[in-house]
This record gives sequence, structure tokens and C-alpha cells, in this order.
Amino acid sequence: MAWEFVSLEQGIEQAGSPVRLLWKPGAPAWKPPIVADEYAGWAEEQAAWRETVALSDLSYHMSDAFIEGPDATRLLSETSANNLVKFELGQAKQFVPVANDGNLITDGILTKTGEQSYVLSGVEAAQHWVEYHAKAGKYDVQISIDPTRDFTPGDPKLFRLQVQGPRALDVVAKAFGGPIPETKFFHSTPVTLGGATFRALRHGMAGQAGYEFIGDYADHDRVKEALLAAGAEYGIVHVGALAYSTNGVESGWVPSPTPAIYTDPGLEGLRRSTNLYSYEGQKPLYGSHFSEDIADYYLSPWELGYGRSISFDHEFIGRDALHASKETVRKTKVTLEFDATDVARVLGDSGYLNTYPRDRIEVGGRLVGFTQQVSRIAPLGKVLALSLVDRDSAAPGTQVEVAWGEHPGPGTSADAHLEFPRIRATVQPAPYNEFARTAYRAD
Amino acid sequence: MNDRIDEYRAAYARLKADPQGSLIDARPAIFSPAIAAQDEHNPKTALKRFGPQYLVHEFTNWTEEALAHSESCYLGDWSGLAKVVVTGPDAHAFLSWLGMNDLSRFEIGRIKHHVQLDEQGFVASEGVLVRRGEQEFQYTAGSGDWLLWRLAQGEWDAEAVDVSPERFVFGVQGPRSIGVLEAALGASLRDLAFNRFRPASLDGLAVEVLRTGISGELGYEIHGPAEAANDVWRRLRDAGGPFGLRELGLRSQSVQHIESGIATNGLDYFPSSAVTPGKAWQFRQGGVGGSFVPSAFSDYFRRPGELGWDVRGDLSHEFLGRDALIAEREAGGSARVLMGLVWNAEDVAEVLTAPLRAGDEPLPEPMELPRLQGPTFDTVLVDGRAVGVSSGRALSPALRAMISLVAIERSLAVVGTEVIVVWGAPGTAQRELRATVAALPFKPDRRRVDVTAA
Repeated sequence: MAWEFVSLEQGIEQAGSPVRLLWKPGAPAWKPPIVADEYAGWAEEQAAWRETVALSDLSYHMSDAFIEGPDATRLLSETSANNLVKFELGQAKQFVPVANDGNLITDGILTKTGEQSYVLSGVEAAQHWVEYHAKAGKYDVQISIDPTRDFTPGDPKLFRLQVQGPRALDVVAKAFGGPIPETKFFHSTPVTLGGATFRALRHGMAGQAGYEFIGDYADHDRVKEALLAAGAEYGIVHVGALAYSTNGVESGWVPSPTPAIYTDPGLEGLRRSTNLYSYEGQKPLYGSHFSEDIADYYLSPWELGYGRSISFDHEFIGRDALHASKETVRKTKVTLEFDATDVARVLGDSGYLNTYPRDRIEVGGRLVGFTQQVSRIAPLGKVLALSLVDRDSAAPGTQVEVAWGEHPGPGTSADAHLEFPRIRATVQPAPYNEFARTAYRAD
Repeated sequence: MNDRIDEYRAAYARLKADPQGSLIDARPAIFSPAIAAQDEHNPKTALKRFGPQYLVHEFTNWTEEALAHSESCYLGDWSGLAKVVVTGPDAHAFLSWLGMNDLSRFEIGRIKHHVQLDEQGFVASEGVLVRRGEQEFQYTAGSGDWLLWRLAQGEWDAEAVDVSPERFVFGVQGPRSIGVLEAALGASLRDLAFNRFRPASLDGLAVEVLRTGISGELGYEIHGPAEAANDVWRRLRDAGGPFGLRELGLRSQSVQHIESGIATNGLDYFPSSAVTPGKAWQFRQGGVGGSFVPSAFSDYFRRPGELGWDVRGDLSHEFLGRDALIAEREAGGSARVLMGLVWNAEDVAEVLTAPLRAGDEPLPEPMELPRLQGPTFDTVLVDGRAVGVSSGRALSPALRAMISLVAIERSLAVVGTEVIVVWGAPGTAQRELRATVAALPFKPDRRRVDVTAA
């Protein structure tokens, strides 16, 4: 039985605006639930996936939508920019749903698990988007969502274990008694270990080859134990919640874009069917870049570099706006390298740091963009900020300043002089790891 | 213990830093500051987690302990609760805004059950608020994190400090509690009225005595410095001997709440702060039992009216969630209200005795006694339709009945209504058990009994 339902729309009405609902200065940074903060220590864990081999347990922090039925493919095709015609069983794609304005809802990993069945994994906003349109458009599909374990009690339906790093393939060969049959990147193959059958997805994190193993959660413990046992001789390190959270900064993946669902009058139905106590209703916004208009935080898939997942050979929501915006979007994704002296002065020169602020990025005092995630990467001895900046400030080497602080929110103007400390930074490409590898090789 | 308090603070800090971590490696076992004294009487050597602490599960046996507050009195340990001291020129204004209670006549020395709502009018936190001074209050609750978070979000000239590891909280509840405390303190408590507290001296140690009533009977709490917890526990235990005092284990601890009709955060509902930056850190993520299947986590949230606290709402002042409370009252109150359920004894016996009957019929989920130490929510049906959710099922030896709380549709919140409780989680051999709606509290409310004459 459904208890009482309070919708996102009601929350917005009550608060006065989407930003008033979501602006929460001082909110602690999100981190994955259930897994311990640290196993070997966050810095050592960050080093493991680039130098040896790391095991990450992703079983708890993603929501999974199970989508099944005669209209499943049509539904997913009409609610995303992805081309789903060429889609093999066991293959995964980065799912790119956009709103009518061409901005991103949030991405996800879409896996084809049967002729008429899919699993969409990641932030729940994309799943709510698909679920809403399934009902509104009367598609013949069944959707059930298994939420994250951030507060939902009990075990998830699926386990998801990643083995990554230079020795990942050695560990996998050891665990399975030989290499796994060759598959293309983001394709999967069924495997068996200790009596459990599950899928092995070719994957890479922070630019390193590896596998993601996905199966029935009932098999979680024995598969994890078998992988850790096989990895012992290669020095496998279990990655904790602290280190895991930072990997996107290097791989250039923006983890929590603001879904473009709050302002479109045509999406009132979506907002009325979305629970207020959800990602869309609760995910805190904070940082020095404050705007009363939540649309200022929306991101285009073009800005995020998702062009390769976009196809215009089918009809989908937001198609025209997305098409039109390809050449007109102003921002692009970059990585900022914070100046070491300023880091020491403002943030301290060691210790764990990971946060998701919308911080102002300025050139000569002029706003040119805002940050998405700021992390200290110990093996590099650097603090990096995955960011969006105007294209004319995106050239590698461009010098910018980041305003480090928490704007108090409504009631204080966006450009109020709040005396936030400035951190100098240098623009570099995103993903940073690809740049770093080639740059270091060139050195 | 004096030289152990730093260790205790450090353990608390480590636990707080990683509440979900693995025991010993990341997360130290943290016991009550009175564990040494308690373990002297722990023949079963079992400890169980309550919030951030491990408590003795059972000192003698659960029927004796669950009867103590009705017949004599118990000595129980709630030191694991969060304690937050709020001070400053705006402390009163902030707490008045944070809670739905009227604090305009909240005098020094008074106690209130402070109910804090979110913007939508769901209960975000609730606990015991005391006023120590013009600008000093203490909030004692399952968690103080909602208070700390909301204070940080505003521009209040007030400060809140988490003093949880510094203080013990003992309960002495039951008709003979006053005798025990007067003997221990060597002073009269006859003039201390319900919901009042005052400083006292216990063998020279500064403590606070609060007259509260979670048992539904005459009762008190003693608060004091954690480093003295073992000595105070022994002192009260010894003083209680002639009065038939029993030490209360975790196994029976929550039976009294159900008898007295008091819903407990994390057992009978989850606070809506759970999905905010003000979420409680103290509770380890675990399973939720019972037959109720939520459509979303927010199905465990409750409005004050669904927990029997609507009367605490005072609309004459500004507070967080006021608009929602007004809207709810204009709509005729919350859709569901809190009532009691008395479970059919024969149907309960069927579940309990199922493993004794021959045959290969699948066994129903076991029914732990006197109750499960964790959250369970069971679907309640009338004519096959889900009309409410039962929680806190407990065998009350005082009432000789299996009882629970139920948030039930207003039109069915009538004493004598016959309902069905679905027993067992989905996927188990579920049973339909008959139950009857009852008034709360189940027992006469004796919290305010006049003790001045005796």
C-alpha cells in the first residue's frame, strides 16, 4: 500500500522555488553508503587502481530500474538520444535522456538483458523520467525500481563488483582459471565462479582496463571473496567510499548534474509524480555560485562531451532543441588544476578532500563557469576540479580563479561581495587521466 | 572510570566518523559508561546494540523485567541517546521555531516532549527538551543531527554542542521509583511535579533528576557525568533492593512504550530527516521486518497526528512545518491516527506453536518475545483492504496480551474495530491474524500521579 505521497511539485510550491528547495549551504558531501570509508587508506586506494589493482563494491549506491515489455525498446528510444537499434544482449550504453530544452535529465548505464528487457542503473532521476513517460504514454512495459541503499534497508537485487588497474586482467585470469572470453568495451559475457553465474562487463575506470561483474546479490559475498582471494598475490586493494567517490574527477564523469526537470511547465506531471523525498527533491546544491534560477545549473549533453552517445536517426523528446544546441552551447567540460600554494593556504596541503560544490570560476573577476566536483588526488599531489567553463576560457593553460565558499542562498544577491578566498587554477582537458597519461608519457 | 572518559570520548568520535564500518577495525564497540556495573549482573553475558551503544540484553528474565515498571520499578540505561546543549541569546527563539510546541511559557526547570517537523509537516526529530537557564537548553533524543543541521542553516545567535559522550542517562520508572531515588539522594522528591527537573546531589555528585513518564507510570530520569556512571548505577541498584527494583535489559526495554502508547523513532516510524543532511548517524543500517511493503522510503514517515502528537502543535507561533500543520488541520486532521491493537490470543498462539505441530506445512516467521529489537511494520487489513500499518508488536506481561501500535485510517480508529494483521515478510508463509483496535494508552496513565501526600 502506498502511504502518503508528497510530490516534488508540492515541495517546490512550499519552498517558493526549486533553488529555495535545494540550496543547502554546508551540506556534507555525498558518499557511497554501506561500504566502509577506507580499507587501505584513501590515498593508497587511489593509487591502487592506477598502479596495481583495486576492487570496488558498487552494489549499494546506484538505483536500478528493471524495464521489461513489448514496448521497452521503443520507450527507451523515445525518451533518450541514444540509438538502440544496434544493441547486443549484454551490451551497456551510456544513457542520455534530455528534456524538451535539450538539457540532460541525468545519465545512466543502460544494459540490454533480453530482447524486451533492460536494466537502467545510476542516479534515479533518469529512471523516474523513463517511468513517468512509460505511464503518460501508455507504453506496454513493466518497470520496477530498486533504490540505492542510502536509506532503503535490506539487500539490493544486484551485486556490482569492479576489478580495475594494471593487474586487473591477471586477477581475473587467476579467479576464473584463465582469461575471460574476449569482449568489446562495454560488452559483457556470462561467467561462472564458485557455482554462481553472472555477467562480466568490460569496463574501465580512471582509464585503466578492467571488468565489472554484475549478478544476483545472493552471490555477492562469495564472488567478492573469490575475487579478493585471487587478487591477494597481486596486492589487490579494496576501495572504500572515500576513494571511490573521487574517481570521476579524473575520468571526467560528472556524477550529479542538476536534472533539467524543474522549470518546464510541460513537466509538471513529472514533478507531480516524483516523490519529494528523492534525489530530485533532496540533492543539495551549494557552493559560491548561487543563482535564483535553477536552469542556470542545467547542463547540456554536448557540454558534458556525450556527443558520441547521441543519435538523431530516431524521434525522441528534446531532439530538436538538442540538435539546434550543438553549435550554440556556451560551456564545455574541463578539469581545473588548483594552484598548490593557494591550496595550502585555503584548503590545507594534505588530507582527504572531496565535495560537489557549484563554485564560481572567474577570469579577471568575470564569471566564466562553475565547478561540479573537487577532489584531492593523492598520487598526483593535486587538487582537481571537474568543471564547466565558457568555451572561450576552455583552452588548456588558461588561468582562472575559483571562489571557495558557501553562498548563503536566497536573500543574498548572487554577486554579493562575500569575500570568499580565491584559488588560482589552470584549465586542463577532461578527462584528466587521458591527458595526464599522454602528457606524462611525452615528458 | 575518571581516567577512561577520554577513551570513551575518542571511541564515540571514531564511531561517529564511521557508523557503518566493521566492528573493531573501523568502528569500536562502544558500551554504556555504566557497563562495568551492569556486567556484574549479566549472567547470560549477552549484549545488544541500541543506537550507538551496546546494552545488557537481559539481567534476570524478560517477563520480570517487562513487569517491573508496573509492579515495582526498574533501573534502565538510555545513555546512548544523543544529548545536545543549545545556548545563546537566540537559543529560545531557535528552539521555538524548530519545534511545534509552544515554548512561550517554558520556564527554567521544565521539560517538554519537543516535536520537530520538516517543511512538509512530517516528524523530522523528537525528544526531551529541558530548560536549564534563560539561554541554556538540552535536547535528548535518538539523534540531535536535525537540530544541529537546521541551526547551521540559519542566522541564529546560538550554539549547539553535542555532549552525548559526556553524560549518562538512567531511567528509574515505576510506582516505587520515588522511594528508590529518595533513599539514594537522601532528599524528598515529593514536590517535583511531572515534566519538571532539578539539580540534585548524589553522594556529593551533581546530577539532574527529571520527572518523566515513558513507562506511563510514575518515573524519573537521572542525568550525570559519564565518568560517574558505574558508581551511580551501583548506588541506585543497591538503594533499589528493598523496593524490588530490577535492572532493565534491552530485551524488555521497549515493551513499556507500547503499553503507554508512545511511538519510538526508528521503531514505529522513521524521521523524514533521514534523507537530508540532518540525518541521524547513530543508527546502523539494518533490515526492516514485517509484512508491510513500502512503495518508497517515505512511506515510513509520519505526521504528528499519526503518532498521537497533534495536540503538541501550537499554531500561535511561527515554526518549521506550520503551514503544513495548518493545512492538515483544515483538512480535518491527518488521514490516519495512532491507536492500539490487541492481537487475538488464539491466532498468536497458532504462530508461536506452529513448530510444535506435526506435518510439513511451511512455518510462519518466528514471533520473537517479548518483541523484536528492531523496526517491524505489518500491514493491517479490513475487508481485504490495507487500512493501516502496525508497529512495535510486544507481549505485555502486565496486560497479558500481545499488543502493538497502529496508524489507521481515521474512520476506522474506533475502539473495537476488528482488523487483520498480516504476519510475516513477503515470501514467508504469511498468516492473517485477527486483532482489535484499542484506545491508547493501553493502561491507565499514571505519569502525573500526586506524590505530595505520601
